[in-house]
Amino acid sequence: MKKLKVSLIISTVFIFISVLICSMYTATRLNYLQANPFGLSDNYREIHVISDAALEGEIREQLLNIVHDQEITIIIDNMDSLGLGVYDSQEFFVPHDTRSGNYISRQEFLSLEPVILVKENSYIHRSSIENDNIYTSGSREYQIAGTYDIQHPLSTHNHEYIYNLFLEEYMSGSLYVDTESEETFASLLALIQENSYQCYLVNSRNNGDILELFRSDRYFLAMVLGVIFSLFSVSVLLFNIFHGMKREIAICVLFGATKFKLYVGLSRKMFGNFAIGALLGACVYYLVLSRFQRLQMPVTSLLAILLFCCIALFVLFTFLFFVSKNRVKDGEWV
Amino acid sequence: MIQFRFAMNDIKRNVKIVLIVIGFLLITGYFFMLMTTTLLLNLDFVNEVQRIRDENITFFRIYYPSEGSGGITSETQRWLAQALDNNRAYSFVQSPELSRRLGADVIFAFGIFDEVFDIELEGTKTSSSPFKILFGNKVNGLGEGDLIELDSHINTSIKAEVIGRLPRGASYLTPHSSRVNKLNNSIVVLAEYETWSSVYWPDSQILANMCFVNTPTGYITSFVEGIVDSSSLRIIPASFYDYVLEKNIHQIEDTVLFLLFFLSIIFLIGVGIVANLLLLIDRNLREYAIHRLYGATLTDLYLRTVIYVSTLILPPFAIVYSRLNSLFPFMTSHVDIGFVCVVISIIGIVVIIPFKKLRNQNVALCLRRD
Repeated sequence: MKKLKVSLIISTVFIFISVLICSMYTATRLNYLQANPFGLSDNYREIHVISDAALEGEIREQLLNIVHDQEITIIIDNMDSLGLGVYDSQEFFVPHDTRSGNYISRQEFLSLEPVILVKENSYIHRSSIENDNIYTSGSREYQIAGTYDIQHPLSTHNHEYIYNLFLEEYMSGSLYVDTESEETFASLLALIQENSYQCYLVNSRNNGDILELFRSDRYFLAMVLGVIFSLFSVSVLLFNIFHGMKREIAICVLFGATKFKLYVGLSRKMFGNFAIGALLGACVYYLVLSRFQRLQMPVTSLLAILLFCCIALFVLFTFLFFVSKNRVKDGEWV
Repeated sequence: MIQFRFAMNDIKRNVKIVLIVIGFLLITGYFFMLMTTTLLLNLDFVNEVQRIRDENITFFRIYYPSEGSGGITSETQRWLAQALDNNRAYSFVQSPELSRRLGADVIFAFGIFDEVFDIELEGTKTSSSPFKILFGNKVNGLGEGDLIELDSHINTSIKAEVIGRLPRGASYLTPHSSRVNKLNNSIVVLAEYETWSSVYWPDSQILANMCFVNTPTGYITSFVEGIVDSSSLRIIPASFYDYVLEKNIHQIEDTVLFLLFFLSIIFLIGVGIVANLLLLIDRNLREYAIHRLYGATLTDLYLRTVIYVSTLILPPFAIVYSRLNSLFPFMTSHVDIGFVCVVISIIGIVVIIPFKKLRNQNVALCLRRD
C-alpha cells in the first residue's frame, strides 16, 4: 500500500470540518440551554406578573421594606417598556464592565436615586448627550450614570436603558428574583400576588442536556446524523481500500503474515493518513473557518477535536478490519 | 433500455446500500437545500438593504403603554399625514379584506413608498385620483385605465384607477421581517394618507411601518414628541440599516456554517458512492468484458454507471425539491436553475473516477482465469 491515500486524507479533512462545526454548535446550544437569564445565580426564581396597579404609596413602601437590608437582585423585563427595571442590592452585576461611567451602586439603589444606565448608541443615549446627560421619562428626570454595550448581561434587544425598578410606576412582565432567603422571596411573592391581576411562578430553569437538544433541536439532530452518515461513507471507502489491497495482502500472507501483523502494519499507515488529514483540517480552520465568530475557540479545544477525529477514525478502521470477512486461511488471504 | 435493465440489476444486488444512501441524501440534501434557500433569501435582503443605505432611513420601535390602549388619535393622524403627504416618509398597510376580494395581496402605500422602492415604471400613466393602482406581474384581470372599487370602512365607495404594471421583481422592505417582500402577486394602492384616513379607520400598522427618508433629526424628534403627546404610545427612532444588519449578520453567519457542514457531508456521501461504485465495477468486471465482446461500447458501460448513480441521487433530490417548493413557492424561479446545476454537478463529479476506471480496464485481462 502506498503510504499516502489522497481520498482518505481529503475525507478526513471534511470529517474534521464537520465534527468541528457540529461540536461548536452543540457547545453553543448547551451553553444557551443551561445559562440562567441575565446570568443570574442558581437561586433565581421567575414570576410572571400581569398588573396595572400603580407601584406607589403603600405598596411601594411594603416592597421596599421586604427588600431592605436584603442581599437581593430583582429584574423586571416588560416587552412594552423601553427600560429594563433592576434592583440590585447585592451588586451582582458590578463585576461586569460598563462602556463608560459606573454601574448603579448599592447606595443609589437603596436611596432610589434617579440614575439610569443607557445602551451605547441607542436613541436615548444620543438624545441625552444633547440634553446634558439627562433623560426625561414622563415627569421624571434621570441622570445618565453610564453606558453599557451588547456584551453586558443586562443588555437586551428590547430595552434601551436600565433603571431602578422602584422608580417606575408599574410592575408587569417577567420578574426575576435572585435571593438566597426563602422568607424574603415568599413575602415578595405574597405581596405581588395581592396587588396584581395575575401572578404565577414560572419554571424557566433550564437544565437542558444533550437529550433535550435531541428532542428540541432538529438542526442538532440533522448534524449528528450527518456525522454518522460521513462515518458510514468513510467505512465504504475503507472497504474499498482493503479490497484494492487484496493481492498485496495475499503476498504478505504467503510470506507468513498473520491477521494481527497485517493489522499492525496497516494501522500505522492508516493513522498517518488520518493524522495528516486532521492536521490539514486544522490548517483549513486557521485559514478560513477561524474568521467565523461562532467558530472561534482556544487551541486546546481544537487539539481535542483533532485528537477525537484521529481516534474515532482509527477505531472505525480497527472495527472494519476485524469484522471484514477477509481472513487468513491455510496460509492464504481469502 | 438494455443498460437501464443492467443498472436495475446492479441496484437489486446492492439494494441495502442503495436504500441507505438514498436515506442519507434525503436528510442531508433537505438541510443543504434549506440552508441554500435561506442564505439566498438573507443575501437578497442584505443586498436590498445596502441598495437603500444612502437613503438614511429611520423607523420607529413602538412601546405600548401598560395602562389603557395607546390608540391613534386625530392629532396622531395629523402628524402622520404631515410626514407622509409632505414626502418626508413612507408607510404601508395591508388590507386582508381587499386581498380576499381581489385574489391578490393588496397593500395601501403612502408617502414616498414608490420612489424609495422604485416601483413606478417610466411612462406609467399619471392620474390625479387620490387612489392609484399598480399591479404585479403575476396579477391577471387588470388593465391600465380600469377603475377598481375599493370597500371603505364608512360605507363609501371609492374608485381607484389602475395606472400601470409594477416593474418585474418589484419589492419592498420592512424592518420587522428579514426577507424581501416581492410584489409580483400584489396590488399596490398608492394613496394620500389624509384622504385614506378620512375613509378608513386608523391602523397602528401605519406607525409601525413608518419610515423617514433622509430627514433631519430635529424633525424626527418633533414627530416623536408629537406622537408621544397625542397617543400615549412611546416610540423610539432607530436606524433601519443598523437595526436590520445587526439582526441579520449572525443569522447569515450561522446559515453559512450550516451550509458548510452539510456540503461537507454531501461530499463525504459522494465519496461513499464513488467507493461503492468502484467495488461494484470490480465485481462486474467479467460481466462488462463479456458485454464488450458482444458489441457493447464504452459509452454503454458509462450509461449504465450514470443510470445507477442517477437512481441513487435523483429521487432524494426530487423529493427535497418538491418539499422546498411548497415551503418557499416564491423562490422557485431563483432556485430552479441552481438546483438542476447542483444535481447534475453531483452526478458528474461522482461518475468521473468510475469512468476513468472503466476506460483503463483491459477486457482481455478480465476474462483470464486467476
